[in-house]
Amino acid sequence: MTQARLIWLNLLGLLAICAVLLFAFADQIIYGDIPCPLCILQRAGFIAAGTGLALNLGFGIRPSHYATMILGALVVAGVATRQILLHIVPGTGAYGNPFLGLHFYTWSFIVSVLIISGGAILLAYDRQFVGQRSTKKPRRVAVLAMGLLALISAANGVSTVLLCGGGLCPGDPTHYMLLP
Amino acid sequence: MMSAPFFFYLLGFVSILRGNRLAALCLWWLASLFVLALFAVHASSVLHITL
Repeated sequence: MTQARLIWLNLLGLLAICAVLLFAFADQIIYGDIPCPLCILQRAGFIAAGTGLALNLGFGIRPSHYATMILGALVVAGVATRQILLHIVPGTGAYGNPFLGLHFYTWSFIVSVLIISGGAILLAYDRQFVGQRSTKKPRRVAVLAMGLLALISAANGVSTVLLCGGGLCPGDPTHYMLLP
Repeated sequence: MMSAPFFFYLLGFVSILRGNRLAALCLWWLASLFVLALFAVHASSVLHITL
């Protein structure tokens, strides 16, 4: 696989992560599904994974950038597993509305496993690391994708401030702390 | 406090767009360690309630 093709795959991955985060944010705004503390940490993990892809797009493909992506996805997987285990006991209920029969934290775990697998597969192409590192500026579409993820990160930051104020979020939030 | 990682990641993206890889990586580590600390605090509080 050529380096140009791998760059496009990285861009596609970054856009997919943006889509996941936008979907969660739309669910929060449109359906009033307030995110729990673990949901917020999973969103942060997705942004951490997206940063690895953004680093590849901005500075050329390096193994350390893929490591960044995989570590971010591992955080998501860990937090999602914790949340699944909290609700797996019969009678403990669930958090939020299900989507296609599964709750968001279960989807989150599935997507994080896909990101880790994708990272491992992309790392298997040795030739992408051989030769000169790209010193070219990233394409405009890559800059736009990075800008979109930055915007999503800012929106999540503002939403978390409105939800939890300056401290830790309540375990089962029912309203935005800083909104009337 | 829980919003802090998002703003660190945001600064990381700004660093990437400005071409500063080292700053972007440092901010990424800072934000990720923050996320792990918050997760540890949450897990320990739930554990405390359960016990």
